[in-house]
Amino acid sequence: MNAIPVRATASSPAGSIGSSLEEALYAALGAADRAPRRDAIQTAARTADPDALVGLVAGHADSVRRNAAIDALSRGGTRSLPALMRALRHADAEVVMFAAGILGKTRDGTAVPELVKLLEHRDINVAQQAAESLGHLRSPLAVEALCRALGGDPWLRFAAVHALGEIGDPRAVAAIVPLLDDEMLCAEVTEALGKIGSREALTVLVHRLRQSADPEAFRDCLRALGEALHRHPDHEVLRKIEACAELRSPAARAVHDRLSRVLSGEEPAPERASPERDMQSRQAAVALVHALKLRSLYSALVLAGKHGALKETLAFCAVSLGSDIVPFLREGLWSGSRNVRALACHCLGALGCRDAADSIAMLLKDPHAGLRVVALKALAVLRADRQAHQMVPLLADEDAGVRRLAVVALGQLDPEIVTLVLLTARPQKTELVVRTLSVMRANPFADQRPFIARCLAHEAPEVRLAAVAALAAQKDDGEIVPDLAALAGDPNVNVRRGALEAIAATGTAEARRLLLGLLERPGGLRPELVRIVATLGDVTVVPRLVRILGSADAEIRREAVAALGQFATPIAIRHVAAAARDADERVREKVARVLSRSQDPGALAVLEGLCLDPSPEVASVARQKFADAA
Amino acid sequence: MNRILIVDDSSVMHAYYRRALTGLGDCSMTFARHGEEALTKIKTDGDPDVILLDINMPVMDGLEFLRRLRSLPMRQAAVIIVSTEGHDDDLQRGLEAGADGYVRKPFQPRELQELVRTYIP
Repeated sequence: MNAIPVRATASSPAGSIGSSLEEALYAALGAADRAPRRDAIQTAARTADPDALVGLVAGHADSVRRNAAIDALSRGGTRSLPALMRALRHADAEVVMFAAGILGKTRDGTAVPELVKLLEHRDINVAQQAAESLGHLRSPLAVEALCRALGGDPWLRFAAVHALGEIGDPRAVAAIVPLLDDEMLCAEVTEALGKIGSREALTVLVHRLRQSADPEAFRDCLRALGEALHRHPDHEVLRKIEACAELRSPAARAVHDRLSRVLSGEEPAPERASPERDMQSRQAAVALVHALKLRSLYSALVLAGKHGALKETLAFCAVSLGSDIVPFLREGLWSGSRNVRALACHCLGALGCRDAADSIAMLLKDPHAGLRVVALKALAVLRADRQAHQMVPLLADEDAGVRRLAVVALGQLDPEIVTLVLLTARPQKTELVVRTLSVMRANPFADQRPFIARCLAHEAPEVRLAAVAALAAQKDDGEIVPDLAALAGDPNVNVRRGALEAIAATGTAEARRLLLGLLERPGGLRPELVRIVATLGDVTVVPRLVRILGSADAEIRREAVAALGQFATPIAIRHVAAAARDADERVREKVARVLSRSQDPGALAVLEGLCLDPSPEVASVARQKFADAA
Repeated sequence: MNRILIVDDSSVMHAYYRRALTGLGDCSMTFARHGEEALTKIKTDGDPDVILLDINMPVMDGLEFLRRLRSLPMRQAAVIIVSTEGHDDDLQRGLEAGADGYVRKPFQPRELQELVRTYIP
């Protein structure tokens, strides 16, 4: 169905469409199966005549096709505009209503004057749709007309209030405030005032907040204020508004008490059936306490953390309130709710309260693993070196996440202090020794060397491997090479590889000499050594690699081919090409891969030969090169 | 508690229903913007008591939703079609497809409340 060119006229919509392609497209718009219909909508949005689509909208016989045409016109964007504007003068009010609705979705302000005229349409549903679309388009040009519509039919009035809220123009405040007395419109007007968020709108909302005896009206005002704060984050301006400033005074105690109950969840929630709106009310209460710096509610703010869903909002507010809220956060560390303890711990860390570190460290013994993690993170952020000795036992915690965080946290503290407490702990169990070495790797310090050296000779390979990594992290370059060299012949391949990589990573002349010497040592030749030697980038290695091509071990020959491929000198490639006759197919496959990357003319001839290799894998690699070239 | 699902692509209508049905008392309202979203909500949240259904919506229109809903092996919610004056064909098809009742726009909150009340247990 892609890119079918369609031409139709406004007068030939569903019934008399010229070509079979057009007919197929229009038929597909009415398909019962949704997949072809979706494709048809996308194609029609790009290629169909918008006037013909408007014709389909006018068809009353097939609602599926009508909705598909509406969808296609919406997706058509600006190319649909002229046809939709013409449709606003259609004889059928239904078509006018649909066109007005689609124009709202196009987000193109061109239609605003025409939509404004429709506010006075004889069909109230058309006028209501025009109001809704003007709200979508958010054009201040529509404000006056929408304000006039407030005096009309209740059906239209509701949509007009909604639209004025969406537009957010302060001129609408005076027009909509009188409608607060209308039971049906009251909540909608409140919401609109929150969206407008001007000084006048906020003043009205604060007064209503103080006067609302009804819990639902109180929460409507609260949510509207929350919306205003969200849209206008300059709280300094807010505090200068007289009505808002009054909310900070002791005289507003009743409101404070209600806010406290909303935060704690004790305020009767008429919309308890809607958890989403209940949460919006709480978030608005948090925003208001934050914006107006209602200190008497800071304790309630922290305790509201018991609702886990508020965590992010509360953390942001608490941290931005700064030192004023610290005493309440410190109290929160002792709350019976673990969510509150976690919030307090997190915020104290984020606020850099180092004098709270002792209290936070108490949470390292909390029965909840999640809280131990939060405490570790906070102590790490605070660089709480004095608490390092309390963090070390968590390297043996029963929870894997806590153990991992303990390594990370200790890795961020003062290395000298951490080393002292690690060594004092005298780890014995293999897993604990490994984690201790992981901390040393993350936080190297010279005093760790004797411990690491002992671990290099540990019977458990995982300890030796961790010791290699910890040693490699010590920043004294060449000095570690001799210790690492002892592990180049380790019986465990991972330890060997780790040691060799660490040696190569020092980049010293001594490391280079050692690695090349190992190549020559009888019995010292191993695949991982060949691979690592190649990383040295020293062309004098090439002759040695060529000699290795004669090794009896196919795996070593394979690594030698790969290593020579990295050098890519003519000599290296020539010897790689010679290995195309190797008896082992894994070696030949590597040869094919190396030669495929080479620009050497001789390499192509060898690759041609490998296309006929008895091994399908080898032949496939070789043929791929020619297929790519073709 | 009675559960009402409103299926309509208009945010203004969502707000209107929210206000208009407030007087119904102990009921919860859930909103969907088209038929597909409504079916997903029914599958995850369970069958509502009443569904207020617009016909013209993107993605999946009201009639297609109704046909699919009635083919589901679950307790059947009462469906009220919300229509406008010029769409009697749609209304007819909706009632044939299993809708329980209808209301025409514009309607008053009290009118809607009374209609919904007849379908809630």
